Amino acid sequence: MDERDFDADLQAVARRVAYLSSQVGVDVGHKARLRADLLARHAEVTGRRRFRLPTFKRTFSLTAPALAVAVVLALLLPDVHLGGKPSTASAEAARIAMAAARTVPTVTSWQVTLHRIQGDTATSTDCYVPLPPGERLYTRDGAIYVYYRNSWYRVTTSGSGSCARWRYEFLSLPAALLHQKVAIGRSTTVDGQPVEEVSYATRRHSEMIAVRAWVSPTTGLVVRLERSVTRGGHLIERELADYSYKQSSP
Amino acid sequence: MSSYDVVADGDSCEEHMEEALGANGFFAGQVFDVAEAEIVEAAKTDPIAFGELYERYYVRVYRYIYHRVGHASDAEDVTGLVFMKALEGLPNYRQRGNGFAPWIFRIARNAVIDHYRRRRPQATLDVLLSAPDDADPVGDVLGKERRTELTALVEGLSADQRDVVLLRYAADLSFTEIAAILQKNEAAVRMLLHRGLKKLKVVLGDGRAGF
Repeated sequence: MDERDFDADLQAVARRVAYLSSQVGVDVGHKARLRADLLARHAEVTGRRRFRLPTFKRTFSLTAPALAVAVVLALLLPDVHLGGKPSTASAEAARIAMAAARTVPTVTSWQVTLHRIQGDTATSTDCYVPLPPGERLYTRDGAIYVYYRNSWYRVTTSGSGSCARWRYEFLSLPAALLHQKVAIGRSTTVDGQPVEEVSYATRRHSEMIAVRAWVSPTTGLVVRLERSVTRGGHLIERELADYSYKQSSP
Repeated sequence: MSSYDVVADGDSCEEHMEEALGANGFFAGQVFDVAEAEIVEAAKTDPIAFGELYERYYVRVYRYIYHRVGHASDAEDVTGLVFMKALEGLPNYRQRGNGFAPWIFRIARNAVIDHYRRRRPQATLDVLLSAPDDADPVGDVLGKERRTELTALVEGLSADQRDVVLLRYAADLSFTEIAAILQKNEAAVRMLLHRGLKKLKVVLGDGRAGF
């Protein structure tokens, strides 16, 4: 309380009122029922307004109506691959980004095998990252969140070094797909698993960073990620990470 | 082995484990408690985030409403309405200086006002005359069953004083947040609270106030 200017008697009254107000019990049954109703209603409402999200509004405003229809279909049927040649890279990127964003919360653990080449040195590292029960990952607007013990935490990947950065790198793909100019490559396989190749490049000072990702078309999760850094046309560093996941049911 | 194992070279993983926060230490890099503003933004599209807001505010909203309407089942109904309105209004919510609390308690306050508008006493003389001797039809109509001590106490305050006292102690809001809800300045809120507490002191009596 911040009633320090009040006299002692009034502070005592304030304490008593605060105490009395806390003596109201809550019906946990009502609380739980209302919560369930609200979350069901939330799903209904967000289903209706999904297409008003800024990212997709921008996509629709810049693309032809036919493409917008394709994106809508992909959003409604995220697990269904739109066959044939991709109409445009941006539509495919939007589809993969959406599939990834929806699938990430189902990941319960993952393994990263990282191969790194820097100059004449080649190293290899394995990282295994389990999520304890009740903890879930999310991505939103390029940020990574973990939900655990009824709280949200934002995870940054600022650490240098192999595991520290690469263990979360796959989570950065949805934002990259929506905000970078992406090229969609041909469908191929990684370790026998069908994947789609997407690539984009960014510039950092005098360095060019090229990223290639191989993404499962059904889950949207990154199966392999490669990052090459060049300066003045010379390769400075190349890292390639293979990801494997365990997932719960969506 | 810990929840985070290094199988091959193990160069930096163990070091970053030391930095990791959280009970099991699987986080690397930096971990921040997500600010409420971000949860509110996420709640616009994410039911988990909305659930988090619900958990944060349910008890406070319910207590405020309970002491305003004085009846558990009415308080539950109004609380439900408040969160439904919050859910539907959330896409239009824009973060301003005072945060989410004033926004949802403004909805709660308006919901209480609507509740009283809807529940004006409608008992007719016929009803009162035909009621058995031991019945309390007026009390039933007004929903005055089992009022708590605080609910009864704040009835003696002016509407503004009652709002300030309950927003302060039942809803646990700051003076700034209350000022934003009532569209008054903080000094006015403090004055209302001061006067409200003085009235309550008289009602409670010196002995009981010294709790």
